[in-house]
Order: sequence, then C-alpha cells, then structure tokens
Amino acid sequence: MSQFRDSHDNSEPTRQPGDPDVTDLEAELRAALRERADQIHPDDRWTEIEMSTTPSGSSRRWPTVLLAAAAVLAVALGAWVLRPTPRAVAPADPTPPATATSSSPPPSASSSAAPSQSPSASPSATDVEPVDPFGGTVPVYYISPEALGHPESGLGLRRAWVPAVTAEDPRSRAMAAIGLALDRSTARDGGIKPWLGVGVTDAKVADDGIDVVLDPAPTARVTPEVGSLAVQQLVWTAQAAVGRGNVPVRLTVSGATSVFGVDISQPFTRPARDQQHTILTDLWITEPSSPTSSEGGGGVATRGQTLTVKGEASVFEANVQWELVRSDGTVAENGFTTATIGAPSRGTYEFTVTIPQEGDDYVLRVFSSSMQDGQGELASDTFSFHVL
Amino acid sequence: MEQRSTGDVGHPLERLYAVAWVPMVRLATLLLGDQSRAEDIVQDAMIALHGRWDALEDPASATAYLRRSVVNGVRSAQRHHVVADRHARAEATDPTRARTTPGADQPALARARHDDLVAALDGLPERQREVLVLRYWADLSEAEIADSLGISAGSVKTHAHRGLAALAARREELS
Repeated sequence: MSQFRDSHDNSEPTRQPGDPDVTDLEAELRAALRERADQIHPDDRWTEIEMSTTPSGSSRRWPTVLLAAAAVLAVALGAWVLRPTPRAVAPADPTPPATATSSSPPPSASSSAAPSQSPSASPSATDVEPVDPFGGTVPVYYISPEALGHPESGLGLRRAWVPAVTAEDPRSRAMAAIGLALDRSTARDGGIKPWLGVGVTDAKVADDGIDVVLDPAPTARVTPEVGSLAVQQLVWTAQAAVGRGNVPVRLTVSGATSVFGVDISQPFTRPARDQQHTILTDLWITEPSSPTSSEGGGGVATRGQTLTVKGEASVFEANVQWELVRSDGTVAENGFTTATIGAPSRGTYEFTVTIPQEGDDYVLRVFSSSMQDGQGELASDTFSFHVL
Repeated sequence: MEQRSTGDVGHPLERLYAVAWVPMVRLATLLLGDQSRAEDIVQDAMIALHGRWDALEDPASATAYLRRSVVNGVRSAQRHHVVADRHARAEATDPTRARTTPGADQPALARARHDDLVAALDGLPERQREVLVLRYWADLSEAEIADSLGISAGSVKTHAHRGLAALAARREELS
C-alpha cells in the first residue's frame, strides 16, 4: 500500500506499541479499507481537467499539415501510414462543463444493453472524441462480435473512420455518418445489418441535441440485444459526427413510437462511462488506425520500427494480451499489458512493439482470454499492416 | 495497477493525474462516502494546482499539495453539509456500492467483519477517521499525515490512538 506515499518521503508510517490486539486490529483495518477502496472506480476526468487548464483554442489538434502529408503519402503507397492518432480533441463548438465541480450524471441503472434514454443527461466532455483524425472521414459505429470471428462471444459497437465526401458542417457530417451506419456491415464483423433498407432523410443539429429522421421504418427481425445496439449505434454515430459530446439524440422513424421494440419517444444519450461496457465491444485498438482497418485493411510500417499501440479496454483485471501474427499464422511476438482500469470500467492501454526485420505482412491482435481455461477468447481487435 | 499510462503524457499535471487521480478519488471517497462528489473535489484540486504549478518550490511536493487540497476539499464539503447522510447517499448514487459483491472466494465472515469495521470507522469523529484512513489505507507516515491535515505530529498520534481505541471497543461490542 505504498501507492500513495510521496516519492521524496521515505519515513515509515507511525507505529503504535505492539499490543497484539491493536496489531490485529490494524491489520484488519488495512484489509477493510483496501477492500472498500478497491470497489471505487473513478471515472476518467482528464478531459474536463484539461479543458479547464488549457487556454481556449490551443487544444492539441493534430497539425493539419501532417494530416495532409500523411494523406499524400498514403495515396502514394496505396495504404495508410502508421502514425499517431490524435488524442480526443475539443469539439469545434465545445460545451464547457457547467462548473468546475459539476457532477457526472449518475450511471444508468441498466445492466443490459438497453439504450440510455435520459433527456436530462448533461453533455460530458469525457465522451468527446476525435472529429476527423484522417481528414475526409466520418466516425461510424457498427455492430460487431466481441471477439472477431466468434459471434458466440457476444455483440457490441465498434467505431470505424469511413471516408466520406461531405461538407464540413455538423448536419452534413451527421447525415453522411448515419447513412453509412445504416448500411454498415463488413465480412469481418458477421454481416449484421438491422437497418437494411432504411435511409436518413434529415438531421437537425442544435446546441441542445440532434434530431435524426429516418425512413422507412426497419423491417428486420432482430433480438432485443441487437435492437438496443442498433439504436445506440445511431446515437453514438450522430454524436461522434457532430462532435459536441454527449448531447441528446432524438430518433424519428416514419411516425413510429418504437423501433426493434425500443421506445423512441424520448431522446437518447450515451450511458456513463462505467456502464459503456454494455454497449461497446470490450477491446479496441485506437492507434494505429486507418480508414480501412475495420475492413481488414491497415497501414504500412518499416522494418525495425517501434510501433506504439494504444486502445481502450474493459477486461478482467485490466489484462490485455497481444500478439504479432505473421501471414502464415505463426506468432512473431507476443506480450501483455495492463489497462488503466479493469472491467466493468473502460480504461486505456498502451504498449510498444518492434516490427521484425523479416516478413512482409503482419496482423497485430489484442485479445482477452477466459480466466477459466486460458483458451476461450472473450474479446479482440486487430490491425493489419504491410512492412516495407 | 489502475493507473493511467504515463507513456505519452506531456505536462507535469498530466503525469500527476496518471499516478494520483485514482488514489486521490479513493481517498476522498473513503473520507466522504460520495464518489461523485469526491471526483469533483479532486478535479477542482487538480485544476487549482495547475494554476499554482509554477509557484511550487519543489515539483516533488505536488502530490503532498494535492493531497492537502483534497483533504481540505473534503472537510469543506462536510462543513457545508453537502453530504447530509453519507451512507444513504453513497448507497443511492455510487454504482460500485450497488454491486459491492466481493468474490465468491472471500469468506462471508471476514467480509461482514470488514463492513462492520468500516461502518465503525465512518462513525468516528472526522479527525480520527482522517488520520486512520491516511495511515492505514494511504500508508502515510506520521509527518505526511500531519502535513496533509495541517496538525502536529503529536495530534496525529493522539487521534490515531483514540480512533483505534474506539474501533477496538466497537469490535469488542460486536463480538
């Protein structure tokens, strides 16, 4: 329990004379407090703190010139170069926290994938995402298995950055992103398309929310789990495309009061971060990334390059495993790392991997295995790249 | 373990956040019983610290400064009756409390004893509770506790002694 001590203070904690009863009580008190503390999983508030301590307009947006250079190089190479994905940036029209001491909205009591339907939920800067890290892309959430290639592992949402020709205003971006989300399905993800045949006819973006108009009503028969995820898919996509945080999203679907059995009479927001494990897949690679990575595409690396891998995880004991797989399926390197916090909270992780001198194509895979037998895969994500 | 990766952080405040956010919120929650409010207090303390960063005589003192701010913030919240009923509110708002279902491998008896002990701790006078939490959870030295609470080392000894005696008496009653 030395986690809390100042690095410059090496003095010992105070001790009372060794009365066995007191010593026993002390030991029990330590254990009781540790047990209580371990049950406290704080939300990540760095974004709020950063927004309150960074002068307006100086957010660390990835320099446009680098984006342009990367895009040119990518086109030249026919692929996307591995490079850092910018951190979450403040939205173009950021909604600052009401006060520096504003409380987080209480987490949803739901323990299932039921959409969070709360018109009173306040926007949270925690949910602010990159708006367009590659230039010319929109964020699209889609339904995917927890462990790729294993539909039995459960379903959740993943995010892709999809190239789109669209104007830069929030309405245009929202419509483009939602249109892609409605049609989103990839072979990698099992081809789940609950919104098949549905189009987006309008989107209104205001300071207090986003209205999305869909037509016609969906006809697909889906399970309640998929139905809930389908609704959240559009909520997360609309919010991400607009870039104003967790603003309420209202769905209007051809006069219907519900879709897939989900009541749409009230607007939806994202659940609190410690409940997002009910919506999102448990493991994401967020860096490296490319607009084609969700479809099995990837990037380009150089031999000997040290690659920094970052992502998000909601896994048991925060244990994230990884491996670098050759094109013949053999493992070139593997390891594990620890996320900032374990399930059910969603933390971030980071590790580095050195690109081997031999071999041309690799798949970087992060995964979480069952603690019971070490074999069953609970969650995974991959990123493919070609070595020059 | 539950710490933000420090691999890519820039400003010293971000490094401090990486190592101190979780333990500081836990400390404030243990003292206050309200995680959401505890997060607010630590967030405010970090923002205030940022404004005074250049005035710190020694960057290594940032953790101690932050801890003092957090303890003061907790005391201020308690003084202003922000938390009317710590236990009821914590149970109502803190999702971690709602699912305080320790592992099945943990003996129920020990769990119940720990719950009783923490409940008894919550019932102690503020100062005694603060000293015991800083000592037995944060594992601080006498000097660090004195610095955090703005009291003398002698007072730390006194509060610790009285607090432990009260807990021992309570444990005796329960047994």
